[in-house]
Amino acid sequence: MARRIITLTVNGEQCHLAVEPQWTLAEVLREQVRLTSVKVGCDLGECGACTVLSDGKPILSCLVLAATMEGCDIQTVEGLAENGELDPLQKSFLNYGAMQCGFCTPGMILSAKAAISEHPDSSTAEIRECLSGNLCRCTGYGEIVEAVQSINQPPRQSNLKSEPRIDGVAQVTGTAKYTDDFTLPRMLYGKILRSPHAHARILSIDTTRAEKLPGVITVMTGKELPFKYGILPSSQDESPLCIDKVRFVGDGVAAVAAIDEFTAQEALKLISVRYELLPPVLSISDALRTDLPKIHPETKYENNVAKHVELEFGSVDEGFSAADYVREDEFFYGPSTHAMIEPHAALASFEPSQNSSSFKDGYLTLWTSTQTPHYVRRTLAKVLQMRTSHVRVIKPYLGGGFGGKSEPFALEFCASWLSIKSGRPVKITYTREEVFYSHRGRHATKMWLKTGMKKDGTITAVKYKAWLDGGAYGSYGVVTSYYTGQFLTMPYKVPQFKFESWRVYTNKPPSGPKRGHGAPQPRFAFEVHLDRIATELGMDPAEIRLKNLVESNSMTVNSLRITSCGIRDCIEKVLEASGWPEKRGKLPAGQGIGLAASAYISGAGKEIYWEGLPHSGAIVTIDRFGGATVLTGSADIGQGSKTVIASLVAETLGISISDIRVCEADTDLTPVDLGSYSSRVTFMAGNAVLRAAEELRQKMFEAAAGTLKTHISDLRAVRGEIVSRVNSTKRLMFTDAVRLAEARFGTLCATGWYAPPKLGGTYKGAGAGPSPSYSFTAHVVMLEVDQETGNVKINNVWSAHDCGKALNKMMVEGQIKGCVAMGIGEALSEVLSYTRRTPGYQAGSHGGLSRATSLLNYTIPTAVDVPPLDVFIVESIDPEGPLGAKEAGEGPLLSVPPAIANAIYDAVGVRLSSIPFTPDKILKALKSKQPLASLVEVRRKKETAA
Amino acid sequence: MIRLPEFELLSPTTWDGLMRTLTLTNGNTKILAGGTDLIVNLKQGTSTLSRVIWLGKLNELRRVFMASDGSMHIGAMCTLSEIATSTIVQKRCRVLVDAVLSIAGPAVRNRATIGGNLCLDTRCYYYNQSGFWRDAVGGCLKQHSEDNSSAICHIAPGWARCSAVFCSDTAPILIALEASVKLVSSDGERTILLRDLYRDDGVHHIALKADEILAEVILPPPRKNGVGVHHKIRARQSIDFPLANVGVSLAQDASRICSDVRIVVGAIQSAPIEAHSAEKVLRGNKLTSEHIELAANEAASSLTPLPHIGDTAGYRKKMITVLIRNALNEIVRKEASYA
Repeated sequence: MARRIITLTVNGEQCHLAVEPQWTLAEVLREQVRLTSVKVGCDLGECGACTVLSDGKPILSCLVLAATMEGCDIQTVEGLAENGELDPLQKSFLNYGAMQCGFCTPGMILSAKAAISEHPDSSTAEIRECLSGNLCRCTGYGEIVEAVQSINQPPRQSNLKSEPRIDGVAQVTGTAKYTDDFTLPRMLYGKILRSPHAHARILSIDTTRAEKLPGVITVMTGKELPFKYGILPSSQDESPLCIDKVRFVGDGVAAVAAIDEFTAQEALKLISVRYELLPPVLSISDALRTDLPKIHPETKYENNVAKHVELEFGSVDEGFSAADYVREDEFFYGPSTHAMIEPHAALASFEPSQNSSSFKDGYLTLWTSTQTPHYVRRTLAKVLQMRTSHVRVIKPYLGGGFGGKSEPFALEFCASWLSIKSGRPVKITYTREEVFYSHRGRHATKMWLKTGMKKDGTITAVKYKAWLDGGAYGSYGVVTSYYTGQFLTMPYKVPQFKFESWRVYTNKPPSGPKRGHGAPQPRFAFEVHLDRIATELGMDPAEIRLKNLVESNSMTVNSLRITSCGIRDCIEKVLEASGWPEKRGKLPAGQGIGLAASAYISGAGKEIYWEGLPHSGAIVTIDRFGGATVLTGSADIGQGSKTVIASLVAETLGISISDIRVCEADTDLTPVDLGSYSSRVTFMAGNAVLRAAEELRQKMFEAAAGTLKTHISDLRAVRGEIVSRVNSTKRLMFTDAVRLAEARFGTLCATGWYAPPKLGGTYKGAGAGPSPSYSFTAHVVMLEVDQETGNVKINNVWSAHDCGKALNKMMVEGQIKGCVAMGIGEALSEVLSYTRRTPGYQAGSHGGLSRATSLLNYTIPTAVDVPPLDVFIVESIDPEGPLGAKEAGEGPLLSVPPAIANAIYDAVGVRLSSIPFTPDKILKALKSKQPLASLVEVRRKKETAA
Repeated sequence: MIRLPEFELLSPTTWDGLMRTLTLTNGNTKILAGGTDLIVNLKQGTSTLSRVIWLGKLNELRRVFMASDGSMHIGAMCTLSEIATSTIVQKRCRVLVDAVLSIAGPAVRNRATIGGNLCLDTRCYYYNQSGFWRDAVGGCLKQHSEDNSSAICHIAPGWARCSAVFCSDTAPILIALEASVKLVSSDGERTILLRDLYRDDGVHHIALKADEILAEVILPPPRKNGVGVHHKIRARQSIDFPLANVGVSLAQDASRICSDVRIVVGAIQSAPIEAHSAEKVLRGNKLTSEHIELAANEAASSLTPLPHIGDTAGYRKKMITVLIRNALNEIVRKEASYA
């Protein structure tokens, strides 16, 4: 079609643009005007990331044809700062920590800008309403609302201690580049053809028609890359594209690279694949049957069980016979997904070797939205059969992960292979729908629990069984199979413990690690189970918890070594803040209050491949003119690890964080770090960086001590100076000390690394669960149940989290609040369901099709669905953490859903044992006033005996 | 990003130009207003077309005014935000503001129009999906309405017609207020009651002729002692389409007897549904809690929501009772506050 010339005023400048009628404003702003702050999170008007201002009013640029915008005045965040000075709103976002991954930030700022321009005195509720079309998955919205409301006011007192993110300016001005924001000369666009069937054999693939489509450069199928991979050595069950069989609706089958994305999209329609349908395995019970085909025939079980774990610590039989009360319950935890706002994207660029014609000797660079650049690099090299040292993986800014980007994905292999085949750069960005198919979300888990207890509320034994719906591939599932049981021995002492778990394969998108990896499900079960026991025993749920707490410097029955432990403080804090004693059981009808507590790891004690190598390495160099540069392999995924690492170096060297540069997550430049998963970064990368920085400080002290004629041990580095503690007139400017040290020792550079101590027991499976340290959390939730609609309105959440030393309070609070918001969504509104097999239909009878493939159908909380959150940080200084710090990014999620369940019981007297608590379920439970899952047995042993 | 296929974009700038353009319409032409529904459908490939007529340049379609007979006229291209902030609408029909503000999020409302909301496509989770998804499930009646294939309706397999649901948040209350719409084509114009615009058929739910556009919404002069209420239930408190909604308009005489009652339930079937049985319960009676309860139950028992968003039909049926009860109770509260 003919292009037409339109004139737009964009950020105050007139732009004459030749646009085709079908181009959206988002396409034109991103690709013609090159304003990449205009983010595309869903492309269907459901997330708000692409918000721009048109004549001062927010609009969704993905739903507007550029050709209809003639003469409009468009504003993006790139245009907010004037003469190099940030807009007050941008400053406020920085000061309040109103962004984490930063992907929703440009749209959020613009919606806020419009709101306060129109109504400068907006109330909190009005601001929330104005932001309610902009989804944020990281923050829980509170800080954003506060930032908007407090514009032009000095930052909150409590936040003055915290440094804003070091990458925050790039985020609020739109200069932060995420993977999809990159383009390269001659770049092609790739697309993946996906299986429409849940389970089928591939009989043939014919790509000839697609290859002939003008604009298509190359096409690939699974046979070209037949090498299996998987994030764990024990489950190498994936290939980049399916070879002989498809295992879920959305499994990749072929891929194309074309000169533009439309052509690539169209080319997929020209690939014909012949399938032979196989019976699909769609549920845990299907998977346990022996009469259905095996999804992965190579497994050792006769049905679709992928992993079975059985571990006993002590003797549960003994524990149960010592009990006065024994109770059994069943629970179900529905599946959920990360729903980070940035879809997965990868851009590959291949360069042939100068002295070999084999691509295997060539060089590959991959920019990718990954939490684990190191694992992606290893796996790429393995699958592409290239030299690992020739593969470079770079993680640009990342728009949220939550576990959903923590292993290699099909697009990374396909972009790379298509680039190798075509000799041109290839970019693949998933649609929101593809993100749902690729997700690796929370395992749906069916659980059974049995607990023995003394009359006084002391736990004597716990027995636990779990069935985990793993979806089509292994992912991190073997670890999940252990985590589901291992963490039940914290934060309450369990003297005798036994668990059994079965992770099964089903023909659904693979499950994997989502924030809290395997721990939220048993935590939900146990915390509700414990509340029921408390009710039975006539005890206060708080009392029964306080009675059984693990203590610092103790060992659990399954050999988890607990060092620092602030769980008692956490629980006491939230009880006090919430007014628990005055509220429990005493609130007006329909209102209720609930408590739950949890513990989580600060990094997995074992790396994924066990070679005894450091888990994290760092290089710190000091600049002759002051300042330092850190090279770290760790990946900032929005949680703020870059800032934490910079602050550790700044603290050690006594200089300002603004003088630290962090170069991260580029496998050519930065030493290995295993990635952002298992809440390991602050602890492990932090320790590595600290070690390097301390070595440099030591050199500076040595050099300075000579000049100042003082002992090295008397010196300290503070506020840009090296000062003697004994005689404060003996001082040197930092830069002078640097020069002295450099003159004496040569270029100032140090390496640091971290490997956890040997942890855990000696039993098989003892490697999954141990961590060098554990965080602890308690939540009290107060809510209201609308008994007509079944809606639950959360009014307050009080959260206390023991993160060791809080290195940046603002960011720790941000992590806790983000966890709470995600926990609320998971507990109340997020439903992942799949179509059932429906015999009788000619087509589509196969089932297994995701019903939630968009952010309209998968309902994550908006700004008006999350209440204000009260957060308390408990600092049990950890003996091994960097400056005493441990994790804050995942643990605070675990006990949110059970606290909600327990509060619902307090409000309306029903025990919910199946997550999520949708309005429909609540109404049904209210109607029957019976728990949803069967209450198996309540036995008063002594009475029975008597 | 999802790339749209090519099409021709016509943007008439004058009324005459519009008339000429409308003569060019055929089966592959779509009218573009705000685009918040149409562009999504184009991206998901549920609409195929070769030509788009955009109405955004016609100032005639953007006016809100009071006519001398006391009726209020709202141009079809007024955005939902413009309606919510229009002093005329705020003063004359507050309930429409409530309804409009319950739609989607602020950025959508800045673009979406009242005409577009009244002409929304029907929705169903077997249909509002990507082409890949719909093909995976084997297509459906709505998708294959034109090509005579043997497709079936997945949510009501026995049905010969599509059971996608009409999810407008403004239609129920406007029907309850007895609004009419002015329809314009190259042959001339006609004004019909809004209720007559809709047909309970998921594919052909809007009775517009091929070359006809909805140009204006007309609200009749207010009834004496009339009051209107809009209530909506949705999954989240923003963004979402209704699980069900209700528009109630009611007039009472001096002794508080309901003389005229209209209750319209939306988002449960392929067209807004008038709850006549509930209206009957109230007509000639006072709004006592007994009558309110009776009316709410009567409506729910006579209406059956279609399961267009999964296994929620039973829940949504219960919600009809709740919506009507809450709407009527709000009227009682409003009256108490006037008195």
